Amino acid sequence: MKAQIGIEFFFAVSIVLAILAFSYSVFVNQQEQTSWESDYLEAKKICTKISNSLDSALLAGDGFNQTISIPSYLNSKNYTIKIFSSQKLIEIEWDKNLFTCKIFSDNVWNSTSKDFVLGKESRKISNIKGKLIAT
Amino acid sequence: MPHRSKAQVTVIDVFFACLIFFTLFALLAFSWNYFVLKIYSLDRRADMENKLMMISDLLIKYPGNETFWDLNCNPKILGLGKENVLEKKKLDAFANSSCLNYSTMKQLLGSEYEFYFEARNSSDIIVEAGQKPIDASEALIIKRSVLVDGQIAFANFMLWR
Repeated sequence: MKAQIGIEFFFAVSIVLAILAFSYSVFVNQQEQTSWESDYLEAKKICTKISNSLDSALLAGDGFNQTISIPSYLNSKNYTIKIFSSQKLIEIEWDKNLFTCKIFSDNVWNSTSKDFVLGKESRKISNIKGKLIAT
Repeated sequence: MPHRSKAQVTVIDVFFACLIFFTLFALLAFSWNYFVLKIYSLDRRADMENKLMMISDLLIKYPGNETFWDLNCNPKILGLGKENVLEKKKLDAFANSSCLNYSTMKQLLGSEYEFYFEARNSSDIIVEAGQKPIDASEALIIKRSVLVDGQIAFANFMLWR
């Protein structure tokens, strides 16, 4: 008896491989998209937390003090937080991606500047006579 | 004579297998898409709610960065009063489009959504500003109790898109 592989078998294997290739490309694409969306939502969460804190400090008035906790990594990735007070803008940057959110005040300072990089982990937000200090 | 049979994969079997696979795949893609849209919709709603609360707080609890911005019509930070007591002159300036136009107000409020504001007592509208919703797919409104000229009134603020 001679082992035989029919033409149908080749046909079936070809179809299965084509489906596999198609499924793989779709899943890889979806995985990348999901990963980006997860980063985007995390960046938005951090940005909103900082902007809410600064806006609350503005509304609460002179003497307000609050300490906020900012995660060191954005979904295990390095990122930077920049505050452009003159443009009333907070910018989160990671892997060449940007997320921005607005703040009400154009008077936010670190110790020296109105446009600065905000550090991570524990940050203190204060309102001193209408001037917001983030250190 | 021994019976000899050859294992066969018929075209019809492969066809049905593919049909089932693609049906399940389409179902999965559809569900995936549905949940992604749902998550985005919930996220956008949460964002609108947050902005609605913050902006309405700004308007009714903060007098603006300049004490008399209603005179020069050039505020850097908007605000209509303090601790829910609204100043009638600032309300009038806020509602006066020749003092502050709509895009300037949106920029000052830091909102990418459209907005509509009205201050009203129990029977009449005292002032209104912004744009009423036109073909809005989503709208959120917040009603805050305030004082205008010593009278109880309501500041209704709406965000829509």
